[in-house]
Amino acid sequence: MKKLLSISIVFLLILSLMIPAFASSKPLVVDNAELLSAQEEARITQRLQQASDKYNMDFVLVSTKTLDGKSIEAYADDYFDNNGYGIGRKGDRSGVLLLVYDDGTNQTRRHISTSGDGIKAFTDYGIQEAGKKLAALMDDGKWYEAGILFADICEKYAQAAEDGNPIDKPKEKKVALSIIVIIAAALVCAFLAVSVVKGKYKPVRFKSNATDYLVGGSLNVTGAYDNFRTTSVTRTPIQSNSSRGGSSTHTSSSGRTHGGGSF
Amino acid sequence: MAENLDYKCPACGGTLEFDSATQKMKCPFCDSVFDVSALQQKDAVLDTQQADMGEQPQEDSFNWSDSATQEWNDNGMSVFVCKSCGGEIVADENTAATACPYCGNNTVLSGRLSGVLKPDFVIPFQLNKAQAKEKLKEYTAKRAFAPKSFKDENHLEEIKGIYVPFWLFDSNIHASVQYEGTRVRTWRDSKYQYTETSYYDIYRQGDMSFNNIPVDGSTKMPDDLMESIEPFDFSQAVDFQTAYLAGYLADKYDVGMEESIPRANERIKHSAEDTLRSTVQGYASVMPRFSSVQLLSGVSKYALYPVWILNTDYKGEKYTFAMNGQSGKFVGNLPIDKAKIIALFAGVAVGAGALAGVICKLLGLF
Repeated sequence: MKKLLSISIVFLLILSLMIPAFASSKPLVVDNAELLSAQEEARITQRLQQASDKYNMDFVLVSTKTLDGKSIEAYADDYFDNNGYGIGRKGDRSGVLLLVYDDGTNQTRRHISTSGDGIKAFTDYGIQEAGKKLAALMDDGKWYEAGILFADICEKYAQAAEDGNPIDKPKEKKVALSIIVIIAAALVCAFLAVSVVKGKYKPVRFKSNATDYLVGGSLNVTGAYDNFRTTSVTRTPIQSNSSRGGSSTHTSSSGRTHGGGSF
Repeated sequence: MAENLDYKCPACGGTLEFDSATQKMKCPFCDSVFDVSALQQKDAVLDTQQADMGEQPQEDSFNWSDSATQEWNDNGMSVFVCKSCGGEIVADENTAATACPYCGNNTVLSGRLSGVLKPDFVIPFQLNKAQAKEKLKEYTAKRAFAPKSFKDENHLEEIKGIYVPFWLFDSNIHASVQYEGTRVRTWRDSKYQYTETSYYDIYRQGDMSFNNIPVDGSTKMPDDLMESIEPFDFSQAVDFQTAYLAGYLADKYDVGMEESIPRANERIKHSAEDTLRSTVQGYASVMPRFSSVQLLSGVSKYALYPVWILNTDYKGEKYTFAMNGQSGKFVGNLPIDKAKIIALFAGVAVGAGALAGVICKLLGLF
């Protein structure tokens, strides 16, 4: 009897350990706009689940017919926050949500909202690149293919981020600039070194002052004023950071930090 | 014929020299050591005794009075007879102490430093020839870009101890200086970086005193070289006595006090600007706009300062090295080996270029 009790306690303990895993297992595909068949939905869910498990992030695909009067960004962020998506610590829940807004007209609008590690994996540039490919399929009504592609992209981006090289804007190659910089650095340093040496070999020069012979403590300042005369202000435009890579972020209505972009 | 005098050792009759290590007169032959002032007194006593005995004084020891009217010949050269060997020494009009070319006897040419020409003070040599040679070796050894042949050809033995005539100026001044100062503040918003520069009119006036600003009184010594081995510490100066010159060369001034004043004024003016500048604080930049200096009182003195000098010729150019005989500060321009400097240029260019290349690569520029 005691043995049975201890076995059941162990079983309960194991069960309780599994609860956090179930806790984040919200539906990864929410097709409110009814763009997918049940079978397609199941396959995409399976793919997203695999990626989510592997990279400890929730990859979610949501379609909707209404934005409830919010911007698409706010709707995507709130959907992510309010439905408990994201894996990891509170306030830093990692995940990526692709929202498809289809109000029945020809034009659908799409938005990717990121959170936690998802922000690092999906850079602004990465979202735009992914958006181009996804938009091409979605515009043709290939919703299933788009869903599978989204899962592929999630895996690819998460893997790249895990390797320390998130998919980001390729740095511009500036070979001509490099050559100029190298030559300038070489010449400036060489001339500097030579002039320093030449100076050291010509130490004979006149002394400009005679402070060596100032009688210590003899200085008696008898008059002094510092009067402000005028002021001038110059301003220079700050270079926009469009040329830089990385992810830009904003704060959602629930106060959490999100990245993302529409396409 | 001009007269010269040297100091004979009372013990053995050899010629005495001033020894910088002990700051006393020393006989190189019997190693007897005499205090400078004691020797002077002894000489004076001897003179008096000789005068009392009705003998003709044999040595014109300290009778400077009429010596300014010594017979110079046309080109400013004079002939002296060496007291030791009887050889004739030819010296130019500014030489006050020298060595006999025949017997090496050190001698002081009397009359050259007498009357108005007599210095008020002298800083005796503190460092001897061996130390000067050591300093020169050290100086050239440290400078790797000097040609090796230059270092090898240096005739260290020719380094000479010279008492150089200086005019010393004491002054109390009143100075007023106007400066323009700026303060800079920067901030930024989302679009612009702002720089605010505020301009201030700053004024300072004050009194200060300078003691013993030296101005080279010899045309033989380059003025810039003499200023490069400054400062001299006047606290070690003593009242001038001819005995200090024994064993060294000495020149009398050939640049007058009046001619030396402008240089002293120039340095005083810059010192006043710099000194008052140090009381202006809290600005990003301070530039003097106008300054005026009034001399409240000024006194000049004439002194001999100790300098070790080496003149060398290298490939047709003259190089002069000088060492402050008091502090040991050693200065002199050196030739630079062309091949070595080209190697330096190339080496630094390659090194800096490679470093810049690595940085560009890391930044992903290529």
